[in-house]
Amino acid sequence: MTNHDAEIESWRAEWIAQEYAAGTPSDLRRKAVAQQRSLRIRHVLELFSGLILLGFSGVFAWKNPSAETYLWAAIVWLGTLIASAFSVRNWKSLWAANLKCVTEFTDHYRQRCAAELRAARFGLWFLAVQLAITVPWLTLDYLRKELTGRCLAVSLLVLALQTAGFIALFRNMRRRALQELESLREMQCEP
Amino acid sequence: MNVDERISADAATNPAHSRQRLQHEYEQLWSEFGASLARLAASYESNPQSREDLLQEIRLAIWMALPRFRGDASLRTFIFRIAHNRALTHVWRRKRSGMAEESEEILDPRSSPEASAINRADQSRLLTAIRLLPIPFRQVLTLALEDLSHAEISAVLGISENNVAVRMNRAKKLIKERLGRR
Repeated sequence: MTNHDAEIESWRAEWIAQEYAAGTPSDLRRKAVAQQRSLRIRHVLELFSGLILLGFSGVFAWKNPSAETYLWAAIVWLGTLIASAFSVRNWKSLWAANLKCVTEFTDHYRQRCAAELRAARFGLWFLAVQLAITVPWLTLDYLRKELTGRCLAVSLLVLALQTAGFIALFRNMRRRALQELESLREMQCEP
Repeated sequence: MNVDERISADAATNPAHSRQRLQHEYEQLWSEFGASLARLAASYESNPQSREDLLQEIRLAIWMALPRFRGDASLRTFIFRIAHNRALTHVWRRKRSGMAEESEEILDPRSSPEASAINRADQSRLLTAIRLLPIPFRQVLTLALEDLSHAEISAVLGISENNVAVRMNRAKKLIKERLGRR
């Protein structure tokens, strides 16, 4: 059954009369392959950096066995595994969601925004926990004379720069997710 | 045999042939739906460059989704679902990047020669009125203008046919008000 509605019929002629260049899709396969390749490279790089972190913390804990290093390695492993799982989940659902109907797609998009928001929140908490461990640890090493004053200053400076970078990243993630959620809310309130 | 079955059958014997077939299927599909999708992009995006970008995104998404078409829904429903989903993503990301939607007003062709020229050269008053509709109403109306039935619109949007009818009536009312306002 099509829409045999007099008003719709009268507008349809005007609607159909619009002319836009639909273009030719000749280079589409190359674009699709390039896009998939760049997504895969990004994904592999993310996983690779996760593996480096896992390997480094594992080897460090193995070479310097103590409660402190085990705790540190456990936190690094946990954080890396959660971040990698989040990344894999996001990547896998990226294209499949397009096939859903608009309502389901909107829900899926909202869930992704909410997940991004949770990830940003988790990231900030995780950063705070790491700082709460690292700063006293470095200070303690300095007090025990295991670290020179200069080493402590350089370490704290590097830590401060890293922290500032991560805070900017997480705040940006949070801002984008909130803006997208706001757009979704606006769309739902419209009717 | 649907698109996917044809592609799978080809892939078993000759992958290169399958790719050619997919390209061929896509070109056929584009010749059938290209104009509709360009109009759909225009209903979401008034800026010509952004409209072309959106159309490219839609093309790419359809290309990537085509091998997954199983024939459960009609090809038309499948295509419009993907197109609307990409267009929504485009709108939400535009908001995220801080780009405001260009404000538009419905020009009265009698008001001045300049306005009349802009109207003729760029967009119809109907299109402008449609762009001013809230997105859920816009979706229902543009799908109806593309001659989709209420059942097909319901399948594309994932809402009941009753809801389609309600949105359609409200969209029509708003359009009439806006077109009538001179």
